[in-house]
Amino acid sequence: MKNQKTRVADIDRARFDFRDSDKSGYKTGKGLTADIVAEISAMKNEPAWMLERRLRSLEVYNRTPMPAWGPPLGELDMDEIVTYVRPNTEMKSDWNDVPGYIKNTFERLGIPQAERESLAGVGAQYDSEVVYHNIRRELSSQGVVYTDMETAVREHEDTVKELFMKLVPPEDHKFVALHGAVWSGGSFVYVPEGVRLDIPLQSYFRLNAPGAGQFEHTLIVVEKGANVHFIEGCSAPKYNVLNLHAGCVELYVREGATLRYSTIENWSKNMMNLNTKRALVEKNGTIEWISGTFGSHTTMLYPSSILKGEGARSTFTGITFAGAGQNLDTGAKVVHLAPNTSSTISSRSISKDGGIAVYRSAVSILPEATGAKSSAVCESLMMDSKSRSDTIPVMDIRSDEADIGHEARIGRISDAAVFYLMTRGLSEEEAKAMIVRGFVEPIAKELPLEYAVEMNRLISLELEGTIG
Amino acid sequence: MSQFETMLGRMPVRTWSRPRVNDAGLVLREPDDVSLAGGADIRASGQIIIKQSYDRTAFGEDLTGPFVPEGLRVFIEENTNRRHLIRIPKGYAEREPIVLTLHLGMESPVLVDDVVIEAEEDASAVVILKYTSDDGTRVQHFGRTRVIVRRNARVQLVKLQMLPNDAAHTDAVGGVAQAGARLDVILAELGAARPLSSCNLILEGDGANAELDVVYLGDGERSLDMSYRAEHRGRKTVSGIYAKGILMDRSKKIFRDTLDFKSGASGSKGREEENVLMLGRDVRNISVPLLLCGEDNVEGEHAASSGRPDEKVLFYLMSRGLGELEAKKLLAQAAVSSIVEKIPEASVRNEILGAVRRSIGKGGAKA
Repeated sequence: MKNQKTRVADIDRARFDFRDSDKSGYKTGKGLTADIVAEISAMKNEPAWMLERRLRSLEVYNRTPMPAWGPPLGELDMDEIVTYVRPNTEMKSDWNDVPGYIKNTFERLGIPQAERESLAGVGAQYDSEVVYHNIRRELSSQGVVYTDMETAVREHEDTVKELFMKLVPPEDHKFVALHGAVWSGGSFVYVPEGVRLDIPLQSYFRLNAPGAGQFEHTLIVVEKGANVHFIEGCSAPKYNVLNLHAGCVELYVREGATLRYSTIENWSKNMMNLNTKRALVEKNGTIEWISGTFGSHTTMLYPSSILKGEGARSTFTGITFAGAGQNLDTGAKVVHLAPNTSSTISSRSISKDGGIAVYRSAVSILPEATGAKSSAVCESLMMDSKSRSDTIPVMDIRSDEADIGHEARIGRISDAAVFYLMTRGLSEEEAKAMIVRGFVEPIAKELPLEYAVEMNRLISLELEGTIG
Repeated sequence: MSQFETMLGRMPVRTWSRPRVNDAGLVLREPDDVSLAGGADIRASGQIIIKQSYDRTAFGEDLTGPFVPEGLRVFIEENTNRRHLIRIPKGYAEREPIVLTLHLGMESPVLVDDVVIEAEEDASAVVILKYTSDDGTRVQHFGRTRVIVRRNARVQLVKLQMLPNDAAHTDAVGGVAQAGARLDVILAELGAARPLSSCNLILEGDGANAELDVVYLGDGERSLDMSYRAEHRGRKTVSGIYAKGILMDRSKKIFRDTLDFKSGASGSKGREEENVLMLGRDVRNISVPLLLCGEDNVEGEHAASSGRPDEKVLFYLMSRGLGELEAKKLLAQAAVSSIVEKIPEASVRNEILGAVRRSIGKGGAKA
């Protein structure tokens, strides 16, 4: 019998790879200088404190070395990156007012349809600026704020000044310092005390310009007892030059509040995705991270949770799919600072055709975190021996009254499991398809329905015979 | 006597800087006398070849892998004052353990030892290396042990480190198992102020087996730094890294274990497991279990757990008439017993269990 490998098809990117010609209204020159930073700030009519923060971030960026760990970043040349590209429009709250070519882009990505059918609010960013933002009126009347960051800087200045880049300071690492200097766009969400949103908000980030960077900032405050689900989607067409994404997400989850933050990242394979996300969770609050990483050439992404209040909780559910030419370094961080805090990490990855999937995590239990519980499970599926799958966790436990567990598994599809299913009447192909679908199912079931369907389509199986 | 500081890379693959697990600082101190100091106390049968030179041994590569950088390697080779080759001849099975005791004292406070164990084809032996010292002499030990296990041979290496709490101890083990061979290493890190311990096992030949068992004890202010790795190269190789640790008082430990499956190691399996008994509120317990995989047809697993003694078990033992201290001693002994029982020499087993009991008596009672 001919020994053929199971083929897991590449993610079909046709839906994301279309591109518009560059019709930007304005763009800065390539590279990163104080003049360019000041130019971006001036374009946005920002208050002086924001320009000061930008320039301080630039100083930090210039003195911070490149990371001495993780995937290679040598091909990133900031002198070749355009950090600000303004589309040829202002922000609108009606799709009919958005220029046709931009509206068409988001139509093809299904965003307006999703807004009509299943979302409480939508933000759409095209290159460096948000071009559309809208929220259902009944939510606005309850005091929910969902707008772009530039508007938030003007209209909610005190809140933004207090919280912006305080949870993720520019000193954190080189690329968040870069972000602090040239950030543009992103979303601001404020959910007042006790308000519960039954349907999600969604921001979609589209980078169209070749050789450009996207540096959106997302700041969410969920007040006491409130509840919200925020969805973030990202994509870009493929070019032959490197694009850079260095966004930053800061989430404040107050006492008893719940925030679910879902991301489906499907950047094109010329994208370097160096993103930073962090949540501060107060007493009995909950942060739920759902993270799907499918695109990009290189990704470094580790959503982190700081469990500050007693009983605070975090869950991370992530899947990474690394195909040819991709080096996807993903995972999670959790810091337990208070008693009876709990965290779970569930991560799965598939690597194929020479793709590299790395799971990296850090769980810290500080002495005050008595009664803390943390559990991590990481599973990696290797589809061939050209690919790589590495697991690099760190656990730092400083409390003897903590319950910590960590499990990791790496391997291919089990012959025994295939054999068992075949004895129950399934063909070999059906058995393997079932196993791979079962492998991603714990993640898929946590996604909103339309994303789960999307992911199933992304990870379509083409089975031709045995694995070997 | 001169000394200098250096940094050792402790991770096969680096990670974030903030947890401070990538590197460890090391102070190297040259011994006054690099000539061979005295006769070593070696217990072995007449069949075993014991030399103080290993010039004719073909290593092929540095078996200690990523844990002994060039600077440390040169230091050891230029400053060795104990050098031993232990060769087990082809087809010969040594019945009793070969025991090499290295004692540090006032007259030889700095020991730099370089030991090579070579088991020729189809040979088998147990080799025990013991490092001991008089209290109050502030001794320093830097050592390298390399083990070559040729086709179908078997070696069990036991290293027992019981240096005083003010001693410096840096130790690197490197081993290679050829086709069908089996290499088992047991490390007992029970003493010294800041033990820096590493072990790199290469499963080179098809069907090779290698297992590393580690018992460590953190008491007082001890800070343990451990880096262990099993590298699968051959097909159908099997490895295991198992650790049982006890932490109390204000001790700290970093335990890094890595299973590294290279492309071509088809059909191989590896498992790493660490269990830590925490007996103090001020301890720090850092674990870094890595799985590195460049081959699809493998199975790699890791599991780690840590926590205090089970209150129900403690209560049961006390209800049977044991005092709290004695109950804790019993639980601590039980925590390490699955590894200790693998050591064939009763005196070594008793030394390890005795050290555990004494530590609990000193500090664990407060836990």
